Amino acid sequence: MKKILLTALALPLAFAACTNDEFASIETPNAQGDLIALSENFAIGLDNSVESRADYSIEEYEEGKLRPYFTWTEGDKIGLGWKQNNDGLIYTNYQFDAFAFGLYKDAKKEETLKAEMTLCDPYLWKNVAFFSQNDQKMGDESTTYVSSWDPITPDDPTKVINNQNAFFRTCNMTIFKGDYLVYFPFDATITEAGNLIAKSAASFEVNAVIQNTEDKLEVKQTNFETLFYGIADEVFNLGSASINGGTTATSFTLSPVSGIIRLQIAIDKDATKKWENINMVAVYTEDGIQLEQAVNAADLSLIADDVKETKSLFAGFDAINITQSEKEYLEVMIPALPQTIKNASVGLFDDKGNSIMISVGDIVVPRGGYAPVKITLKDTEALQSNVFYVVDMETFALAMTNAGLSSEDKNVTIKLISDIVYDETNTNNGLVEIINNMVIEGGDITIPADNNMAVQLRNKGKLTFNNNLIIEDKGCCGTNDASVTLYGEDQVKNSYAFNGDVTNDGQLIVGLETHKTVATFNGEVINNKSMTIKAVTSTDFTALTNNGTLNVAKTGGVGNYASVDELVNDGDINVSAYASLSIENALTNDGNINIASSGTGVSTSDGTVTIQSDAAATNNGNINNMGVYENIGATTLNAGSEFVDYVGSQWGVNMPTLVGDAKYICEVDGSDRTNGDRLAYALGSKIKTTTVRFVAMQNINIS
Amino acid sequence: MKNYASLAKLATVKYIVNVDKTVNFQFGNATTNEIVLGTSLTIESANSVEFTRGKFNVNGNIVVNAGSIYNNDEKDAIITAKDLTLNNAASLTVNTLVDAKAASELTTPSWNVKNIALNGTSTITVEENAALKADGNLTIAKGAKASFAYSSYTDVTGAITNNGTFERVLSSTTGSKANPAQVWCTAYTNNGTQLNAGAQVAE
Repeated sequence: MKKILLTALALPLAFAACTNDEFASIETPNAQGDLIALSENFAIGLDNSVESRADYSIEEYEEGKLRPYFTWTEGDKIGLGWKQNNDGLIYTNYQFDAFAFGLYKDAKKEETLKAEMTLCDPYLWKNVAFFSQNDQKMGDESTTYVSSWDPITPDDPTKVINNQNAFFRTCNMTIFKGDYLVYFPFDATITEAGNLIAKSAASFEVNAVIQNTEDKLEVKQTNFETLFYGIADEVFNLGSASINGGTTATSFTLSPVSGIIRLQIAIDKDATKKWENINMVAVYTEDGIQLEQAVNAADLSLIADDVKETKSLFAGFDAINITQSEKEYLEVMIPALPQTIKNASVGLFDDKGNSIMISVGDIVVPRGGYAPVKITLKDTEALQSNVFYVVDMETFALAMTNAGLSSEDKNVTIKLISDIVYDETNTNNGLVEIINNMVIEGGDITIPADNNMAVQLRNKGKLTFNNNLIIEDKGCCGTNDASVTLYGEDQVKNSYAFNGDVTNDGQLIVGLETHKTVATFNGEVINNKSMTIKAVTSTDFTALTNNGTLNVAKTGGVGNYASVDELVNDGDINVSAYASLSIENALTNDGNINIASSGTGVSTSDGTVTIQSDAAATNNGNINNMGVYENIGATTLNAGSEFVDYVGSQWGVNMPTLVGDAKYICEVDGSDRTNGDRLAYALGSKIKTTTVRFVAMQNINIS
Repeated sequence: MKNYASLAKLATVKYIVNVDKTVNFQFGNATTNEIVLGTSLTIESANSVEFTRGKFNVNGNIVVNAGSIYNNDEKDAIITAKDLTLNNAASLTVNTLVDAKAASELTTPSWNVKNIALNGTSTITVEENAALKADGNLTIAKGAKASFAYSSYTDVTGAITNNGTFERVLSSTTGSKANPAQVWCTAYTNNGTQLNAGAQVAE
């Protein structure tokens, strides 16, 4: 082996056969050490065959010992992090791809053959089965040595694949010599020296089975494999390896870091309720479930500080009936990082969105082991039709549809036990109809780009959001901003209440043409893009920050009423004719407020901004008044600000206080006002005019 | 017709003209009336602004961003202001007062300002027999032009700096007797185009 010393910052070289897409390995600038050149056939072998017979046997499973049933296929990747000084950190993130299996000697799997490789050119392998695009083909010890990576043709049926004894190769021509941490699944996002982060997902597609305590071992084995199928790749694994050159590295093993929550759910013999068409289970806690934990590469221990958390894990599967039998129970497996999930509940969901949440106390998930959770369902834990637990968009859509359109005299609650990313494809073009009294609470609802959520309240429909609503913009890759439209049909019967916060980076529309709506926002509303109050809508805000455009609009000759306790405006607020914006407590305007005229000459038809008696308005920006500015309270025009009093507009009650060089611009044309013409009005002693702007007057006669 | 002269606030506000038509300021029929017309006057948009009749004291600067501004040449309109700035393609025409004859230092100027700045492609024209008083400097930017007609009189108490075009007409094309335009200053610098003759520097 030729030893090559390079600087640590040398760019890694790739074999010619590797494409850029394959070459995801990373060396950090902090890596300092000896680089060794790899032959094109260099491979590292995963040897989990030592206890191969027991690796996924039901016996060990029932003893609580977890051994993942890996089914390596082409394209599976592991990561190698160089330990450098064994300080607990990794300094590289080399990607290695599975390319071959080792072989057993015969079909009874009694002996593992040693994979070998000749060093002479051409490089030759034996006792391996290579992956190919379309097929797996086997090598033959006696006759079939192969050249390079070409697949080999099986000619000895006694040889079987040991699919736990996989081989991996890399595109790197050089790597650091020494000890490595090996992990699976590969994480291409690791680009900096540091602790490896062990990760586990929050949602899974799994298989559920009905177990029978009297099943034979073969059936149990089959069930186990069914349960484990699909989630083995979700189990985070760690191992160690040393690479010092040669054609193959020391074989290594991977041990699971994740544990498995093993849910076993039976029905009490006295129960009369049914638990049918169950298609999802969840583990939920308000205390948080860790999804990430740092790894100390020196001893492969986990560092559970500063971890990413979620409130729920959930697993979906094909709908299944839980049978009422003393011998049978439903079993589902959910992977999780080792931890104690405190004050946990287990949720059951059917395919109609009905659900129940059952408290199970603390769940202790061991490293590389099982956490059995046994539940015996009683009638008090029957699936509920007035409380819908929601874990994802699919269950959210189901719940909104089934709950929202159930009896109009019903009170229904939708509990989001995780944050929801809204997907209108799960709905009727984004439309949700609600005819009863619905409360949504729990996780946040995010409306992403290119999605529209339209909620229509009908009959006795009322909707209360106790959670947060986030409306996103189109971002880098979307076509349209996300949008939310809320409307009803009767101002008395239909109303919205937002008790959480609303952040709008897209479009939020309250009211829709002729549909009548009442909306109350008791949380903080931050509008960064476009918000419109339409139709015959009455809207109350407790705290509104507008950084985008807020339109208090009209529909035909009818306007809308918006009342705000605390309004901070750094964007544009447009109050249309017939519409009204009332400030109950405080207005700080750092942007633009435009109050429109109806053009009818009737001030009651103009747009109106009212500063109520106990309210104070501070203008640091621009207020353009073509309608009515009713200053019952106090308005201060700060230095640098501007208030334009357009022809035909009205300033009512108290005159403003001007600070510094604040401008009160009074526009003047030739038209008469009740008490004189516009110039006389502008120059009247009570008007705080600082600037007269002639806009339509040709002859300015001063005599 | 409203009597604005009684409005004390006439002198306390700024004025902006934003009318795409000809606008004229006047005091009825009286030429002797005098007012303080605000703390500044800005012409944002106008075909032309005419001071028709009376004495207008702008207690601040005049800025013309568009159109032309001038005094009526038959009705003794006199304008006094601080700095006068012409931007873009704006123009100022200094017309003579009623019954004017060849102007001299004894002639009453129709425009009395401080500094004059001609920016962009703006122009100032002092017409025949008219008088202009600038109690400061006259600066002519590249692209701008100052023209002083035959028999006019201009008194710039400071310096004249020409980076554009400076035209002083020395003789009438119709008269037989030469009565050249007088343009007085304390320092004259020509960096641009000078037609006929430069300004006269008083000792």
